[in-house]
Amino acid sequence: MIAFDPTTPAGTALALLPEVVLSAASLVVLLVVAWKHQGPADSRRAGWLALASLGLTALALVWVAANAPEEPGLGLMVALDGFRYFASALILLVSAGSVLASLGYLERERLVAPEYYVLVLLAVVGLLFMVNAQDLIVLFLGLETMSVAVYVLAGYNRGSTYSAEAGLKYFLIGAFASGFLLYGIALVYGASGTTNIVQIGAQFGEAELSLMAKLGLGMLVIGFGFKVAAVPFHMWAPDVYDGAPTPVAGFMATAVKTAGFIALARVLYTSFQGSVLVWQPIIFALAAASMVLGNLVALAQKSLKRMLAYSSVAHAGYLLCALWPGTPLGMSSLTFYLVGYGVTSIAAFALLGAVGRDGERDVTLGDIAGLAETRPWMAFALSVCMLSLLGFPGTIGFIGKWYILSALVASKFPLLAVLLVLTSLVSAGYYMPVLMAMYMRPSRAPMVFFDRGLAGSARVAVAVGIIAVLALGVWPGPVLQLANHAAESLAQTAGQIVARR
Amino acid sequence: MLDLLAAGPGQPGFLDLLQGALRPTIALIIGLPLLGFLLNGALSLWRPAAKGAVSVIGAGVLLTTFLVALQLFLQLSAVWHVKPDEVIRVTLWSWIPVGDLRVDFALQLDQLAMVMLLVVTGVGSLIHLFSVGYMKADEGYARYFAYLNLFVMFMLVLVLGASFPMMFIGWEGVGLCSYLLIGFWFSEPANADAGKKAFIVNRIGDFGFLLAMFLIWQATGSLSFAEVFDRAPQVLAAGGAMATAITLFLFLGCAGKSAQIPLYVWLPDAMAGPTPVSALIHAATMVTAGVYLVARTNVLFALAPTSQMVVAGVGALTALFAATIGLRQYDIKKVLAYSTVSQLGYMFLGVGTGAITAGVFHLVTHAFFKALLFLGAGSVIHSMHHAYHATHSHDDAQDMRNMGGLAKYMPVTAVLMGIATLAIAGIPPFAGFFSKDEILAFAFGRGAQQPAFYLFWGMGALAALLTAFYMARLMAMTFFGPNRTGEAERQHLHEAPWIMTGPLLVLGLLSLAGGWLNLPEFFPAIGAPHGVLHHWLEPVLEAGNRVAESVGLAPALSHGATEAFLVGGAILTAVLGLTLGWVVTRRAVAVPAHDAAPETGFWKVLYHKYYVDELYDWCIVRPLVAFSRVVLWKKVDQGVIDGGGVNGAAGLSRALGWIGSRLQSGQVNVYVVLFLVGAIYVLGMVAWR
Repeated sequence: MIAFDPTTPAGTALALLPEVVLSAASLVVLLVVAWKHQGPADSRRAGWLALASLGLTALALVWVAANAPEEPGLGLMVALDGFRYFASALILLVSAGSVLASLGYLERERLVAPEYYVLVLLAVVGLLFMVNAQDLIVLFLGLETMSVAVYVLAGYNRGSTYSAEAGLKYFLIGAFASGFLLYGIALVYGASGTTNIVQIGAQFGEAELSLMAKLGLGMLVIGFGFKVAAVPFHMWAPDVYDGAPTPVAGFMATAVKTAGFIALARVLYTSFQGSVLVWQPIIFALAAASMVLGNLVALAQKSLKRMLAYSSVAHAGYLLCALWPGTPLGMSSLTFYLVGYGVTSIAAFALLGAVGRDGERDVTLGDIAGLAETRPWMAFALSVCMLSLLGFPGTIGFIGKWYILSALVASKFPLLAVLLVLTSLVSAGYYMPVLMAMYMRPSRAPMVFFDRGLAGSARVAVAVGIIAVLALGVWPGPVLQLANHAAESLAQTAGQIVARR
Repeated sequence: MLDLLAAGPGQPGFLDLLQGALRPTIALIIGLPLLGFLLNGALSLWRPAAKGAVSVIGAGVLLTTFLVALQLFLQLSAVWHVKPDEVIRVTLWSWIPVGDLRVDFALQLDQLAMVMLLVVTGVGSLIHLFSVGYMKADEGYARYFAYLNLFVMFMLVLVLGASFPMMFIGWEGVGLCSYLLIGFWFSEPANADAGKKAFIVNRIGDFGFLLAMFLIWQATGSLSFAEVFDRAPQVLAAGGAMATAITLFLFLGCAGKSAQIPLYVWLPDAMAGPTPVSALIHAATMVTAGVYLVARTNVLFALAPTSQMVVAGVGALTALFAATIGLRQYDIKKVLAYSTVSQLGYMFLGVGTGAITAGVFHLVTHAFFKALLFLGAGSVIHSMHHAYHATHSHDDAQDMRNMGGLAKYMPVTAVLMGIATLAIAGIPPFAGFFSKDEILAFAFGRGAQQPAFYLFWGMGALAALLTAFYMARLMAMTFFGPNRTGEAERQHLHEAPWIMTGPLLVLGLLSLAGGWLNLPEFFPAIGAPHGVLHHWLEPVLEAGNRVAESVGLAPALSHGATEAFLVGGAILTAVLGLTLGWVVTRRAVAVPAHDAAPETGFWKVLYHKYYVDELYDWCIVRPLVAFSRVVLWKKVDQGVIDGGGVNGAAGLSRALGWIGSRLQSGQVNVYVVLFLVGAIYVLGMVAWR
């Protein structure tokens, strides 16, 4: 065991080992595809290389988690806590799932440009920086690195005008939102004199925030609200999910959302823990609006992909509920729910990518009617996903929602809990018809989309996702413990601030 | 393990070490049948024809489990010899940690659970082996063994569970497997209906179990056995309303699972399943779960003498009532089914009297001889079925009127069934005599304190007479007299293969010698010392006995002349019943089923099982269905809930959703305006705080 000292330059490099490894690996992959970018075989190779890079990064992450000093002290730009490791691991996991789902998908859609995987890797680098950032500047850099890569990914299908539209829309509104975030950082810096998340917390303390700081806080929340697709900053999400290649939509719904929530949680919990009363009403408003609007509008959707997009907005609402209490229990439920939502959505988007074609824009309930007869395992897997998203007992979605509810109730704020339950009830109105269509309706005579099925690699992603959904649904203990540990380590950092004052 | 023993059970921390060492073994006991279920389930989906593999897995996991259980028994009896109070508790994982409520996925092993563990895995192994021969030709062979393995897994969870919720998992799980196996040949609607009936009737009982759990939680603040039984004597007043309510609700659960009046109606119909299933689930193990539950919660029942009275009374009444129905059934499995209901009544009479050991003792011996009877009947049916199958006859292979003289064709089965008959009738030294006699003796003993028990004893004794009668009738009709199977069919009758007779032989030995497990004082100690089971169970029952003594209702036996009168009377009753049954049946003119005259008089009432099914149908099922259809469905559900609630809310939601989706125009400038509105709102909120 080598313990490193993160205050030295070499130590900093070691603290950033996963990010360094992944950056280097993505450059290597970029080099490889510069030489080999002709046919499907080259694309596949790039995909497997990307997967290997993610694996290598995971190893580096494990090493850092095992060897990082317990109490790194304050003032670092990079966090060395369980919260970061947990989030990074989750991001690597769902990214690997996205890569697996992309392998067969890109070939089927004739999108054989292997740079795709390089962009995914670069986006993941950005995401990792977002979750490890203990400094607003690092956070912003990570966010922009990720955003630029994802803008391109969203518009990756150059043959499709919808995809191009998706990329452009995401870029335009994204730039707008980045402006808010950057302005927020500037105002917070102006009010506190530092960009370090921990030191901001120490600076503000329990005192009443100045107007400048308050506005800065508000703008930060707006900027993150855009990334996680919370109402009313969600308008881009349905159009972008709809137009983007389905694995990219899955990536955005899981990995990007995870990083957004983790970063927002870190900022709120560390920098603004003394001003809970200032940010709780905003979070409440965004959560309530996201849950209500996301679920209601999802009811009116005909296309499955758009339905999943609104469902993702609704889930942003649930996750905001977990953020609201600002307690370790709330943080723990947030991280746990991110796992549940991540594994479920990766499987759901991979399955959606398999039942459609041409970007799945037109896959409706009618198209999956009778799927249980022709493809029983796919129908089963999709059912499990829908039930988990709905929060049905026996799936991880249930445990996750239940955990959020218990955090809300423990914080003596039942209003959000009631809203969460009621809107979840509404969500049955669009999840259950998927099951009904697959199991209770006869299949259409010409089975247009069913000739493809799941590619082998995507099958692995779906199988792992479904097994995780079911296994963690009855035996959440281990992950729950990890989530608790992650939340506690974040609370410890916050506790250090209190001790310093 | 041996090091541990060498270190000495007296050491501090010994229990922790022991539990740590036994954890894998106990997990294995649950895990092996589960593995069998998964493997056989997979085979039934993908390779239903691989019957060899299915047999090896299905019977193999059970035999291995039994061997593991046996080894555990040897190890633990050494420990318990020194420290009888050590209860092995193993927490596999934390299941429901919610605030004050903490339910672990925990298993516990004490002397009582050990008895059940050995019975379930031992008898289970034999029945699995028997099934290999019996189900050989069935298409659903792999599915059958998958269900059977799953059943054993749940049964072991039921037996080993360390808390009420754990036991409830097993309780519900065995119910599920019972349902699946009763309706195993589900293409016949009657079989599927029988499965449903069992499931629904059991639901009523489960409702009682759940209510009991809620009350226990309210009263004691815990659901784990150790804590509940520890706290119960302090927080529950002896004879108080709470203790009575809890135990009565528990007994409602038992009445459902163990087929007692008024919920016994499902068990005879459950004979629709394959015969080895009837032997394993509906005779030897699952249906005795209710008795096990009363034995397990003996502390609670000791606190509620009224409930004990109810348990004993219902048990005695069921024993008598079911025995009378058994007098006039012709389906060989139906006779045995009513006999099972009747014998379960005895067990409840025992545990209701407070003589837990006697009840458990009868549970064990009954598992031996009733499994033997069912498997023997299975062997007969197997042979009859082959005979009718060979000639394409549509006669009933289970109707005893079509049998007769089978001893000539299947001598091994006949002799072993004879042993089982002597055992159930209560002829010494066969197994049933000792356990039945002990129950009746304790019931008589308690009569001194509560005279109602004299009545229960009388009912039990009369039931014993009837038991001997219908068993003699069964033997006479099946194995003796002229054969009525049919000329052409007769030559196809044959003895079962060794894979079926082998298990029968073992069960025959157990039916003969099983009673020596708990020899009474008055009997010469042949082969075993006196009261082995009694001493074995003492540590488990200690707390309950203390409570019973404090309320002045400790179980008591009579001695001297009274005892001699009781024992002599019991033997005389059994002999009289057998003789009467034999003589009456052999005197009657035997004709095949299709030539038989319709029943008349009281026989007809018995043949139609007192019309209880019809009564339930008219008084409960039909009114309920009519009420559900006319009021609940048409008015409440379709009118109020669907019309106003569901469709109204759904319509409103959809309308709102539609408005929302109109905002999603696809125009980026609209989006940005909305974004700005939202941003201004958020900033306004923070600024004005």
